[in-house]
Order: sequence, then C-alpha cells, then structure tokens
Amino acid sequence: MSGIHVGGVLVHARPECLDRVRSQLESAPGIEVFAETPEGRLVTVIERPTTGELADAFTHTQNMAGVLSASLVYHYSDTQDAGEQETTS
Amino acid sequence: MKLSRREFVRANAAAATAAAAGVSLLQAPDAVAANGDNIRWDKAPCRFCGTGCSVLVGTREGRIVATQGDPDAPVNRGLNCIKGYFLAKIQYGEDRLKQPLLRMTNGEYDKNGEFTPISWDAAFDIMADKWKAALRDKGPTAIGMFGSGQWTVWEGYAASKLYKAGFRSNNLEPNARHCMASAVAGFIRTFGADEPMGVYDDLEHADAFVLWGSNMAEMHPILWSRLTDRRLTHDRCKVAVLSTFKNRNFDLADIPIVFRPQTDLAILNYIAHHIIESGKVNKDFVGKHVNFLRGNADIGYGLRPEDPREKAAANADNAGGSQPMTFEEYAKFVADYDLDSVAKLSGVPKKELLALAELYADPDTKVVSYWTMGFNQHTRGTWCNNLVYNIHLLTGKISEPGNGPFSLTGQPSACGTAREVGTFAHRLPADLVVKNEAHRTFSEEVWKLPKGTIPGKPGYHAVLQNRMLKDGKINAYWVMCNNNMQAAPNMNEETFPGYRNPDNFIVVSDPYPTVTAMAADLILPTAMWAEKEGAYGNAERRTQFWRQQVKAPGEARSDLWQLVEFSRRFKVEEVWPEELIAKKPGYRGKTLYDVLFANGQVDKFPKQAVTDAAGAVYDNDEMEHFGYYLQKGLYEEYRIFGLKGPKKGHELAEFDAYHRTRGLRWPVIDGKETLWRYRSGYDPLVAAGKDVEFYGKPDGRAAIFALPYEPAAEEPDDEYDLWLCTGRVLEHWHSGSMTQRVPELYRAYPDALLYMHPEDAKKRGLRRGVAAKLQTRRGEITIQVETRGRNRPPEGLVYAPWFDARRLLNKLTLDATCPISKETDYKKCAVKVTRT
Repeated sequence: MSGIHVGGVLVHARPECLDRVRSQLESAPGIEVFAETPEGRLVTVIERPTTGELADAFTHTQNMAGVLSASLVYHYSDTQDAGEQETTS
Repeated sequence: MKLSRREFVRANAAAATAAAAGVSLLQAPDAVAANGDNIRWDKAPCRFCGTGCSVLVGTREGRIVATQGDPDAPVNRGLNCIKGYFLAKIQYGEDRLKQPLLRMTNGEYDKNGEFTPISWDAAFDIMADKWKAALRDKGPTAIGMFGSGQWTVWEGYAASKLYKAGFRSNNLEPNARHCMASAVAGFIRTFGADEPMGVYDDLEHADAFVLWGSNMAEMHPILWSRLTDRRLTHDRCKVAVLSTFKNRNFDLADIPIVFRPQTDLAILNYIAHHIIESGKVNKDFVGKHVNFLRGNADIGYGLRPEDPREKAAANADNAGGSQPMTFEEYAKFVADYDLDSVAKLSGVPKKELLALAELYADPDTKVVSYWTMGFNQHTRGTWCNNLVYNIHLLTGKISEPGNGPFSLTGQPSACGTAREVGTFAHRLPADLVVKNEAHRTFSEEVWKLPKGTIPGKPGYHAVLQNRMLKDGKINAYWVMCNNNMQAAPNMNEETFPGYRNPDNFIVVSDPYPTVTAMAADLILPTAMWAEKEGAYGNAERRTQFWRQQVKAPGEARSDLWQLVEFSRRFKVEEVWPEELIAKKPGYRGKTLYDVLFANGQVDKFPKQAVTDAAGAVYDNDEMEHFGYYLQKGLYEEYRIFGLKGPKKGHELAEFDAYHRTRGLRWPVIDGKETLWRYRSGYDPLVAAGKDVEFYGKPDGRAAIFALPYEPAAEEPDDEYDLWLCTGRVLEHWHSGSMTQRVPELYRAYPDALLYMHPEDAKKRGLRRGVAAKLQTRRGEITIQVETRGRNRPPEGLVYAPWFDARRLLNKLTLDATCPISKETDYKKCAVKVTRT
C-alpha cells in the first residue's frame, strides 16, 4: 500500500528537553519539525510509506523520553500515486 | 503555482498543526477540503473513551474512508489520538458478523451445537420462546440483560423501558457497573445527584492538578494534552500524580507519588487532617453548605455471602449506612491519619505527602482532582469518591472555574446513556430510582403504564448477574454492546460456568465474534457507530448527536432495531398479570411494541429526510423500517423525565438542537448550557439569594463522610506474593474488540505484556522478553515479561493490560466489589509469577 501518508502532530515536550527531543525527532525517519515554542510545543509532520509505519512513528514519538504528549492534528492517507495538482497556497 | 500533491498535503499538515500550537507558520489551507473531492464530511463523537472528542467523518461511495479531529469541537479542538486516527477502520474488520448465528445440531437448537446461520425471524422466534418460558416458570427475575455505556442514548432508554416496564424486570445492567458505579454512588451519597459539577474548561483555569489513579496520558490523551499545555504555559501550575506504579503521567509530575495499594484511603484522610490542623478550613462554606456523617465501617467485599470475609464483616448488610456527627467529631476522626503514620502505611515520603496536602490547603491555589479506575475499581471505591469530595468541600474548592473534583469516564456514553437513562438495576431515567414509589409512579405516568408496573426491588447487579447465571436463577440473558466474558472478573469460577450452564439461553449482540459472542448460544449481528443515528453523553455532561453515515453490512441491525423489534414478540397477557392489565384494559391484546413504542409519543414524529446544513441527505434505517422518526420520539419522551420529573438538574434541549451543535452540557435551561453546577452566577437552578446550593440534597447541603482505611480483599502473602493490577494501554480500547481489528493498532501493541520491576524478575529467574506464568487462586495465564517501557511498577507489584483475548486477565481477578457501588476491584489481587 503505497501513496501519501502524512500526519501533523502537535508534540508537547519538557522545555528543558526541547533540544534533545527535537534532535531525536529529526533523526527519526520521515519526521520533520516545522516550528517550536519556548514553552515546549513542537509542530511536526510525519510522512511514511504506509499507514502502519505512520502509526509506528507516531507511537514512537509519544514514547520518546522528554515527550509529554503527542496529538494528531491532521492526517492524510491516500494510496493513489502522489501526482501533481494545481493549488494556490 | 504548481505544488506536488505530496508537498501540498505536507504543507496542510504543518499549517493545521501550527494553528493548534498557536504558532503562525503560513496561511492554512482548509485541511478538510484538501483531502480530495467526493468525500462527504460530517461530525460524530468518537466511538472510544468518555472524553467525547468530536471527529469529522469522511464518507465516499457508502464507505467511511477517513476521520480527523474536528477543529470546531470545544472538547478536542481538532486534536485526535492514535485510536481516533484509525476510527475509520473499526467498522471494516474482516470478521464482521453479518447474519444471526444459532448453535445447532441436525437443524435444531443445541447448546453444544455449531454456530449455524439463521434468519432474524427464526432468531427472534427461539429467543422469544426462551424468554417466555423463563417468565412463565420463574417470573421476571429469571430474565436479564447486560448492556453498555457504549449504547446510544435511545438504545439504553429503549432497553430500560423494555425491561423495567415491558418485562417488569429490573435485571438490567450496563458494563458501566465495572467502570463508573463507584463514581455514581459517591456523587449520589455526597451530593444527591450524579455527575461532575465542573467541565473540561477547568483545564485552562486551574493552578494545580491531582491525578488519583488515572493514567490520563494513555487513557485520555486529548485531555492530557490540554493539561500538559496548561502546565507548560501557566507559571505556577503544579501536577501531582498518584498511582501504585509509575506510568507516563509521572513525566509531567511535580509531585510524583507511588503508594502502597489501598492506602489512598489513608492519604485522603491525611489531607483532610492537614487542612483542619493547619487552619485552612473554609469555615463559611462548611457552615453553610455541608453536613457531617459517620459512614458505616467494616462493610465486607461484595463477595458471595458464604465467603468468610463476608461473614466476618460487621456491616456487610448495611454498607451504605451512616449517622450524623459534628465537625469536631470528624476532626478527631481524621486526626488518626497524621503525617507520620500515613507515610509509614503508604510508603510515601513525608515531603511528598505534605506538598500534596498543601495544594489542597492553600486558599490561593485552584485545584482540580481527576480520577478514573484507580478510585472506582476499588473495594472501597465509593469511599474514595466520598473522601476526595471531603477535601474539596472542607476548602470550598468546588463548583467554580479551576476548582473541583472531576471523575473521568472510560466509555463514550457511560454518562449520557448508562447513568442517565436508567440502565442500572436500581435506577430509572434522570437520577430516579426504582425503590422510590413516587419515582416509579412518575415514570409510569410518562410511559402511560398502569400504576404498579415497575417493580420496586432493584435487580441483580453486574457481578451478581454472573453468579445468578451460574446458580441457574437467571435463565434467559441478553448481552448487548459489550464483551463481558472478557471484561467481568473471575471468569473461570463465575462468568464462563454461568454462560455455559445448560439451563441458560445466552444471546450476544455484537459486530464481531468476541470472546463473549463465542460463549453464547445465539449471536445477533449488530450495526455499529456511524452505521446508525446516535447520541452519546461525555464526562462533562455534554450530549452529542451524529447522523447515520453508512449502511451496516449484510443483515447487521442496530441495537435499537433489535430491542424494539423484539418487543413485537410479546403480547401483554404473556408478560403482565391479569390484575395489572385490568387497570388498563385498553392494553389487552396489544403487544409490548404497541404499549412501549407505538404509544402516541415515541411514534409521533413522522418520517422525514435527515439533512445537514449543507443539504446532504443521510440514511436513517430505523426510521425507514418503523415508519417514523424513532430516535427523536424516544429522545423527546426521555426528555420529559428531566423537564417534569421530581429531581431538577437534568434538563435537556430539544432533539434538533443537538444535530446543529457540537453538543450541549446539561442542565440546558432556556436553550443555554450550564458549565459549573451548584453555584450562583453559573447555574440558573440555584435558588435566588443563595451563593451555593447542592440541590440534589433536600437541605441543599453536601455530605462530608468520616470513613476509615480498611485493607484490600486479597493482599499478597507468602505464596501469592505480588499485587496484580490490571488496566489498559494507549493503543487499545477496553477488550480490544475494535482496536485489535485495526491492523496498525494491532501492530503497534500486539500482545499484552506483564510489566514488572527488574529485581522482581531477577528473583524469579525471569528477564525482559521471556514468557512467565501468572497465577492466582482462580486461574493462570502465560504472558511475556517487560521490565522497561512505559509502566514501571515498584517491587512487589505487577501490571498487565486486559485487551488481549489470547491472554484473558480476568481468569485471574477476584470478583470482590465495593459493597456500596457493586463495582469490581480490578486493581488488586494476589498473584505469583514463575518461569513457565
């Protein structure tokens, strides 16, 4: 089952662990940190080849040392090919 | 500009997440619209826990293809947990049941036969035969039903009416007895009215949170993310976590407390003592709004009466009794629970106990207490609830933003259905009880029934139902919307022998072949969640509706359809005595369907198109079948109990209002929901001129109870030398009948593990990853040892989740209950762990 499997995940980390959590997240396959706040919120996007691996990456995030909470804000799963589309974002 | 679809989706994900985090990143495209064409989106409350998150359900060509957090929902604000992420898949497990199945041999029913497909007609034929035989031979106490906190509001209401009015049997119970009964009993005992006074908005107002036996991080992850956010963004915010083992919540804890099982009772009394001793009692509040009572002690453990523990208990037959006392007497009572002795008993360092007590005592700290099964599944569960209320009442920290006790719920409608529509063996809708003649009379009037229809004696509670099945006292039994073979305690000695007793006929309605269904004689295939129109009520009194999104597979039918359709099989003369019929001769010759459902109230709303604001049209298979808007009729009849009943405080809005909103929190007065109950300015039901009124009680005063520490029903000894605590994990919900069928969730946490301290493992020649034998006086299972990971028990205690049908934890547990609430203690029994 290939296609686009993307999750937007709001991560809460202990502020003193922010650097460590960010580098752990960024070293995990398919996870990108888009932004963070000093209070410990991290805006992350996970992309994996299958929904199973997406779920694994999400639970991995949730169980990471220093992570207090991880919630899905957005998710998208499509098994069709990742073709081009016109948008105006 | 050209964006690849992939980049577009990633940008959407980042933008939506940034918006939830309060970070400005880039302009957020409409996340939902981005998910492609031809998908119809509509709101529905999540199928799992009691938080009541709203999700957007995406349907394409008659199939649910996606779900996501609802950005307009006040509860979850667009957030979703891992289970909610996979909601779309719970209805599509490969082994969905699609036709009724009866155990048969050579074309005839045979309790030891093979499951054989039959028609609905044939299924109801044999069911009706068995019900009529039981009623004829032994009367209404020989039939029973075990329902659910996952029933929709109208399903629970229809079941309550069918059993209590139609069959005249109070042997109706919900599985909520296993999870919320202690909270109910605590609320009724202290306040005279069920359910919390506060709301989730408290999460953004409190200065301190205390978790008492609630693994919120895993079991209520969305509320946990709100709590975490408050802790990280509010400078003086503190979090105290109490549990018998370390879990994920401890990562956020400022005051981490691991206590010896059962000693929460002593810790609660110590806090009350500290408040009094340090002069922090809110005397004005206590003087005006509180009574003091000494509760009966030595109340036993709800075991069978011949058990020596019951024989030895002084007040086993009057567990809920109490006598008035003075404040001074109460102060003297809790003075025994001083810091030194409680630290010694509980194993908690004095520093932590003092810091915890100070959170409550300090008048400038707004504090919310949360609890779930650690309190409720406890042989003194009602006491735990009473004792935490004591603390909030002594300080007046209650019924206002950021201050209050709050019982969290495990099921999506344990509140809205199980507790509110009268599905417990002792209850009627809207907090009414069968024992009260005025309550019965009012119910009979609403239901247009002859006086004396509803029996006044409470029926068998959940654990007792299984004992009565084993003893052959209940012979016709319907299990609907739950998995009680896996969920009920002491499966080997009570549940299984009860279901397989040759005198009994067991019917199980379920979407899947669960452990319970496989132990039945007749299986009825059930439509689930978005395959029907529904309503759930969450833990903060919020009632939420959803429309039917898709059709159920094969011949699967909703629980509502099953209950109402089954009522057609009974003539009034077959279930009511002649003297009762004589009071309403017009009912002679009618069926229970005519009397209960086609009664001019339930059938009064004609067939109509169900549409959303955008004009999309939805199915309603029950409306189609019965020819009228059944759900609306049931709901509007039920609403009369709150509007005109003898107990105020449960007023609901009209049916259509809930389809338009993301839910409303009752009491709904003049179309407006109520956030904080019992306090003037927030609750319009408080009498004029009063600042606070606990109007569930006749004198408007809540009760503070003096209740002691007493030991658990079964504690570790030389042979069974460890405590066994059972519970859940993030990835799976309850018995796993839905989440185990989602491949991604199964893969994330496939098998139950035994969490234990590395030293305890070592002492037994075990290590991480090997199989161990887990054995109690009642049974044994084999399970893999985990010495690291998310749960870290202290030496002397092991923890295992019960979702795994291949490792049935309830072969091990003891059926000891709180003698007041009748809820089982799944958190404490004695176990030994050995090499296999």
